[in-house]
Amino acid sequence: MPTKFGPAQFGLLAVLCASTLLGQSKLDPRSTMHINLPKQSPIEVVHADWGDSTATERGGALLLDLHTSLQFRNTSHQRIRGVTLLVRAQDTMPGGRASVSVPSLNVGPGDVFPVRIDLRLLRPLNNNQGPTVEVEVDGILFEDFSFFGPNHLNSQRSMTVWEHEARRDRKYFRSVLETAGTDGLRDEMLASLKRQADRAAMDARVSQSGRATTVTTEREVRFAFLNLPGSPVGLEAGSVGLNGDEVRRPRMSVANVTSKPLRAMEIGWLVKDNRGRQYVAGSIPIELPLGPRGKTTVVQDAVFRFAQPGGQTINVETMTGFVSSVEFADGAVWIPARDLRLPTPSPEEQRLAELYRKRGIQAVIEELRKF
Amino acid sequence: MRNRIGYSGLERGRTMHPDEATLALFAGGELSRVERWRVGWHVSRCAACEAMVRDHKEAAELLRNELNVLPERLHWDRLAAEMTGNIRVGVAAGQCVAPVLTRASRRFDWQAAGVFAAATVIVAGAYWLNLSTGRGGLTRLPAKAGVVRTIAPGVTLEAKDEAIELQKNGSRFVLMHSNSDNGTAIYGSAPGSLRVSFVDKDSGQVTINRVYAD
Repeated sequence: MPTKFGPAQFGLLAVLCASTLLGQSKLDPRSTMHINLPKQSPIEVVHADWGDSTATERGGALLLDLHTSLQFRNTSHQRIRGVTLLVRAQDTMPGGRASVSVPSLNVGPGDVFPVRIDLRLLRPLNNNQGPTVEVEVDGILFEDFSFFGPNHLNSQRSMTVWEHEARRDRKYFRSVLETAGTDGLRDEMLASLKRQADRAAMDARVSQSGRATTVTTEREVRFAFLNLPGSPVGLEAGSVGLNGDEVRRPRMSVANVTSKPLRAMEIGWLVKDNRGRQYVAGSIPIELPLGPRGKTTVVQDAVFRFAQPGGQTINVETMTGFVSSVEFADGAVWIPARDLRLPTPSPEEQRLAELYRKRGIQAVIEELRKF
Repeated sequence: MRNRIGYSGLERGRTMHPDEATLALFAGGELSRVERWRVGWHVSRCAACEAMVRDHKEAAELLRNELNVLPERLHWDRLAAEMTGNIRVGVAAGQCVAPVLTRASRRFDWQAAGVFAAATVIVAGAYWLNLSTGRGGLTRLPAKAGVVRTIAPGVTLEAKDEAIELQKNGSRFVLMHSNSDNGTAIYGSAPGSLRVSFVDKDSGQVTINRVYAD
């Protein structure tokens, strides 16, 4: 005989549902996340909002959800243009590191700016020694391109490149505003939003594999280069072994066409699959000291794999490389000119286009006037 | 309740005419059946109200035609993508707030409660065990954009919707960008690392998260 669903039954179900939430507790983030700033640091922590950070026991593991918005004050006498924070979870993930960078800043002396960090960690329950997450400054870039920080992640180069790109793009948008007015700038913003949408469809990943699969059908192909006008580096000849989604031992002749010594460069890749579809497949930094007018052949004894965001492999048919940035020995940086329409927008262009989408063209014009 | 239709006898003589809002609703077919009959009966005998209804219908038609023309500079693909996103959000939200109990399910018996309880225990147990062995239990983030990159045996680096995740021997380290604005994230990769560039919803700052596997 059926029994009606009464309070007792509801109670049973409530207990069962609550069991999945057992072990969840509000996290005391101060005991979990340590923010270490050196004594000479040009920024200080003003406020740390830990939001809904929680710790949840799951069987033999502890799940930590850390959400924080850190407020920093610029205590230096210069404007800050970019900050990179290094995030380590040494106990949870030996060797595992992450960084949170905020480029395109315009923070004057005494001003406060936020940096948000959202982390999730799963670690063994018995491993509970010391702080779980360490946050420290890896680098701070100032208006005059001077730099502060240990630079463990080579953030100086990245932030310098982003700042050069930001200045290039703002200069370009300002010139559009002067020559074509508000309508012209609006058209540029709309075109940028479209390019960003198109870029997402061209997304691919490059990864380095420790070992190659057994070679059965490898073929050696020459790959093309986009030799960009004004580039301090000439890419002259290149070849690579192709086997499905594997690209082996890229080999290229590199020439420094300037009278200044080079320290490093970054090569971007465009790959085309056997159906003719083109992807932007990441970039490969190359540390390459090269004297004035020097030439060398670079061989990377490695296997790279290319995949689509969904995980499907890309059967690479042809490859095209281009120099996306060059760092000289004195720390100066070269980037391609704006009119070359490279497939990936700069962080600053991304920011301005999003500002246009949310707040309209007047907000973009006001923003351009601030710099 | 009887007087949901507004009438105004002062504006146009002694005859009680429906007011303009009621006539607009009538023109748009928005009145209930009874109200429609009452107002229709009046309109069919009153030239002034009939003219007003005709004006409302013409204005509505004009508006419809205007809306069929896309404004200049409208980026249709982007709008369509946003609409799709909003529909997904709407569907998800609808699923959250939709009534769970149907008329038939309001009368559970003990047997049904027992089956439900057993199922809950099994599901919770499976979830628990999955997490403790580090085989995917943590992944509650949407996984449609995921790509697993095996860096070394037991080490994977994976880009997902709103997160980059590093897994190493059962431990996980996830850097999220769930506060990105409008899904504007642009991914980039280099051997040994994945990065994502996005605009923070609250601050409007562009932020670049990167996770390193080595």
